[in-house]
Amino acid sequence: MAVSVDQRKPPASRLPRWHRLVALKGASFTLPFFLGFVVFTVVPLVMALRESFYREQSSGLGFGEKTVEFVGLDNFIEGFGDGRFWASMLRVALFALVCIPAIQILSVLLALLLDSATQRVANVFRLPLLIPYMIPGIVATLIWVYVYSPDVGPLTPMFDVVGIDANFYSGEMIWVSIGNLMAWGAIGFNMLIIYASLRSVPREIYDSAYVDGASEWRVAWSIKIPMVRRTLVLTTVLAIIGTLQIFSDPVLFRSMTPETVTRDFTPIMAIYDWAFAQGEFNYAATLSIILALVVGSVSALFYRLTNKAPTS
Amino acid sequence: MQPARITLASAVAVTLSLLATACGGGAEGDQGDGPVVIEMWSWNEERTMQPIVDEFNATHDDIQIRLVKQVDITSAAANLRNAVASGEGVPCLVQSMTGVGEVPALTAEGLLIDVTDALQPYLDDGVFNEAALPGAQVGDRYYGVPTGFNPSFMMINRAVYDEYGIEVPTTWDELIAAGEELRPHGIYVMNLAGEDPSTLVNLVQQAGGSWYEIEGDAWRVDFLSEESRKAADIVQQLIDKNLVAHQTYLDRPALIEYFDSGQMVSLPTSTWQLTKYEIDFRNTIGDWQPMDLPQFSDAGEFVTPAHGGAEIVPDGCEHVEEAVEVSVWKATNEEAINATLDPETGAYAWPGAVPDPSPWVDSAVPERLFGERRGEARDVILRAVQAGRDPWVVGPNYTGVFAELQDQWANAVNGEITMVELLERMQDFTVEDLRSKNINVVGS
Repeated sequence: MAVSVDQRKPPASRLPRWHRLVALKGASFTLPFFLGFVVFTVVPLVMALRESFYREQSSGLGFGEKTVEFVGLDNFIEGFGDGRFWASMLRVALFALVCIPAIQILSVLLALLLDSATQRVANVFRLPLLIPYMIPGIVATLIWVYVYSPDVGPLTPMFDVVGIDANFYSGEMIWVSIGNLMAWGAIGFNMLIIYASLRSVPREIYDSAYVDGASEWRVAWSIKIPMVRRTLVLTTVLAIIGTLQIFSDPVLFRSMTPETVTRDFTPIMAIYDWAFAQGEFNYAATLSIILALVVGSVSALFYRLTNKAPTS
Repeated sequence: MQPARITLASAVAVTLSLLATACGGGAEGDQGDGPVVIEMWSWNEERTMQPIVDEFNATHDDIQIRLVKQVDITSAAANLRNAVASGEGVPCLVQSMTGVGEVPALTAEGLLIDVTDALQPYLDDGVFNEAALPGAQVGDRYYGVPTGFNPSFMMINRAVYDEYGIEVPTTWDELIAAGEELRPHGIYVMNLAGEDPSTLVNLVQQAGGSWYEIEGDAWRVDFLSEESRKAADIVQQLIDKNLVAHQTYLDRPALIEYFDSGQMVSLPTSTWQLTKYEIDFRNTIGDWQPMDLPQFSDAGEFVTPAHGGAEIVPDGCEHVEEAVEVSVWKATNEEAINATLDPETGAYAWPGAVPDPSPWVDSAVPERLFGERRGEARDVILRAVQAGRDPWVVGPNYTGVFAELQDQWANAVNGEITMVELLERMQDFTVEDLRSKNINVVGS
């Protein structure tokens, strides 16, 4: 092209300023978010970090004035060696290893089914599948807590009829019970995200595959799933973050079966117990920071390992 | 551009000022020459608390109570910690918090104020039951106003006992024997909830034991005392022989249905529960018999555990004397106790702090629960009050220790560890926890 640089350049004094102004205006829409983010995330995080370097110390019989001492990394050393905290982490990690893939696979299957159905059929099923997600988590847990109850719920007598002694609150079954509840709530949401992603894939690609003689299964496996890979990574990362921080479900289960769901059953429950039941805010802050590090690392690692560009 | 910029700036300013206001809190200053206003926190239902407040306010000019309803005990504890830490909005009275923290543990947290001087005149007047006092003490000082204890006794489903020709137990050993006879019929002799180690704690207290003791400037922790082992042995036998149900107290509908089914026949209980059973029981109403709490076979005298609670005066309260006056009035004044009448149940809140609660006993005994045996209840309850002993000393870290005990109790009830293992674990946990807080411990 023979267009000179000078010709392309607008009058130097006006356009960049105008650009900057537009950019600033656009950016200002994010201000409420950033305000909230700073006040409710950054500030508490900095405060928690500060608290985690201190410890309240007593003396004598423990009734006198307490002193707050700077203890350096002592709380972290204690936290990293806290067997029960890490046991809760391991418990949840194992649960996540089983639960998240199961939820993802089911969500993908449902999304694929919807995608291959006609638009009318898809519309009929889309909403009912999303209803569990619309129900607030606490309400959903309460519903299931009573459905599971061996005393007043319908499931135990139903299993009884076919000769199965099912106690959904027992130590062996509690994670199955919580997992089922999570799946019930999460599948609809994940399915919808994946389905939307599937709908945005150009249909011509499928058509050419069909012309080449690909089966429905082959199209799903070799085209559709790779095309929604980024979406799958996103929903999985969200699931990892959510699952490692699981709190309200086991807390409500604890109210029904406290001998199985102990106070430090999950990492957040342990942190909550330290802070609000025992008043040990410094140690609770330390464990929170450790948990944040773990969740961040696991999410980042997963993202890095999986988030490659689609191959086709 | 200009108006938009102004709007945005105003929005930011409003947001920031709202945040600043929210963080600032709203402490109320003294009201000059008017009456002293005592802010009182309670999570009891307002319908039961308001009449007491109204009665006090109507009969006192110099002091007035302002009732502040809290959602529940846990959030009240969190609010109290925040208020004391900030020094603003500190109430002058908070309902007994035994459920989440005993007086020594709350004192160790720096939440409470020494009220001994303000309380002394009332102690000298002998307005309190002696057994109600230790629950408010830390060493020989008072950090709360005693609210007393609920008498411990037992109620049994006599119809089931009679059906199988089983004698009413008077000792824990006899109760275990009764359980062994009932078990083949699919009946449990008692219930041990997985979340509630109070059965063990009460047995240790009944045996005269305590897990903490002050020795000079240090604590002696002893979970493995003879008394604790004696208590643990009873519980262990009940579990090992599969004589007890494990219904949780937290699922009340299921619990009541179970108690009312005739499949579980002995309930250690107290006055405050009776009217609830009266309302809820359908099938077994009238079948129950009140009886003395079973004793240890080698007990020298008839004893019931009677560890009491205390209404607390938080650190930062500016009117300690008046707060104590209000609290003592509530716990011991006849008009105050009369104002606790619950029209729904016809019962008064149990006056656990007074030496002689007999004027209010009859109201605590419901009409139909005990059927023909209703008349026995009065004596059973008064005997339990007279036999109440409180050997229980609580250490500064008991809040955490009790939480740990709950978890270990769950393990023991599930059969994963024995009761003696529970005691050993609790011994280690408690000593280690005290040492980590730089608190003196003697022995191990």
